[in-house]
Amino acid sequence: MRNSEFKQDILGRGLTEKLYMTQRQRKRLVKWVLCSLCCLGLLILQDVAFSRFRPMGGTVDLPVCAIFLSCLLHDAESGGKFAIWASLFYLYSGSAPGHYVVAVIPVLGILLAVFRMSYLQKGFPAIFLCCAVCVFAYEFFSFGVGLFYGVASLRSTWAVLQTAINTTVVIPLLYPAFSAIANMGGSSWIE
Amino acid sequence: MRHYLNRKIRILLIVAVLLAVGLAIADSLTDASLLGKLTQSTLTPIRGAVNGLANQAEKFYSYMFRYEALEAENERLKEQIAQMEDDARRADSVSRENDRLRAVAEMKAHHEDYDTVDAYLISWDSNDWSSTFTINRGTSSGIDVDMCAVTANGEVVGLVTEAGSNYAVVKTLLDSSLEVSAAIASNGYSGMVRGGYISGQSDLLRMNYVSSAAVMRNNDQVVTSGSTMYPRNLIIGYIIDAGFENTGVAKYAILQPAADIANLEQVFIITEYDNQ
Repeated sequence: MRNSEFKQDILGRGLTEKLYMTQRQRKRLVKWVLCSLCCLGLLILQDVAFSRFRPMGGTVDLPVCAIFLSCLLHDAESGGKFAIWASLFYLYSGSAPGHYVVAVIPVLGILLAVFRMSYLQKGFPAIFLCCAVCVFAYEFFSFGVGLFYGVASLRSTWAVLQTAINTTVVIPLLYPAFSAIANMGGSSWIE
Repeated sequence: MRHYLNRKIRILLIVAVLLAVGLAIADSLTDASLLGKLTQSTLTPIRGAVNGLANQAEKFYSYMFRYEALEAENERLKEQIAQMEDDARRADSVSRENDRLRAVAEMKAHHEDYDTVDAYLISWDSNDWSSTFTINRGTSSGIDVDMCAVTANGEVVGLVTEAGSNYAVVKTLLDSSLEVSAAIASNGYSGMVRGGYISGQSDLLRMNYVSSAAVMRNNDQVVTSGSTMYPRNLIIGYIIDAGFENTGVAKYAILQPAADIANLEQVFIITEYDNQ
């Protein structure tokens, strides 16, 4: 075995040493913390700045895009668990349109993650395509719920479509950061 | 695909759906989401800080790139202030004459007082068909659900729909789920005002159920007719269009909101009012 193939496990510091975590486990912990912080940051940015910014009549759904990206960049199981927790936080932050986000976001993320794992390669085009499908499905599902409850009208279809398009345009901007975070600690499953 | 859709994934899918249904039922039965209040109370200071930074950045941008436009707006506002001071002097004179005539006619004065709490907007809801924002004051400042929000000039902005210890959520008049009882100031005909999102005019208001005998003119003022949630005679908006409803029995009016809701930075919550 060459020396470069073997990396000695670095002893942890403080709490991680007391928890007897391996280096890989520490990196995965840092990965999920960073992922959560990124989603939180985008949620705050959306609430404070982008909610009043309406390019071509639609808005941008940054936190939803971030949750879908996080789910799709990991395997369906770990991504799905993260999507459930993140959706819960999104709901209770007051920014979500309704309780259905706790079901819709994880279900869409998990199903498209399974589809990607089954038929597509792990790369930007596949992630972009699956994330775009998730975003469009989510936006039109929300619109359908609004129509059902009588708080939305068919006249607003263009605004919903524009919101979905605007959110899709943001995916390539968020992808590098989320991809780098997802690669920390190695892949959780083999292609 | 079946290979990856294993038992664990199916359990996750079922858990997500059951969680959503369970939380919806639990929140509707208890009518108070403790987790929601806790989360929003934690996020409020962060939102406030980021909002402060965003406002500073916007002011710097305006100073650097819109200086001439700001100068022109400053001049326009000075003229407007001078006009308003003149109107205030005339109103003062009319008010004194009104008091004198009331004393002569031995009529009781109609006087409204209300206490207000000022608050700053820290975040907006980005939903396409709802219009709500969050302010940085809550129950600890005396704000509670179903209190009215107005601007510094007494223009109606909306209603408080949720209140935590250090935050409150205000649903604006533009939200189509909010209805306010209103009256046309010039002739007293009443109706119900709601947001115009459903009719395709998301920045305007629509006044429904107005009597077919009502005569409505352009720029007629529409005010609150008074209720347990809204004091009387607060300005809602100005009529810009009118017509008959599809039924032909009543009229409707399209209103331009008096408050510049899209550019609001500060609101005043009416915590107590007294219609004498």
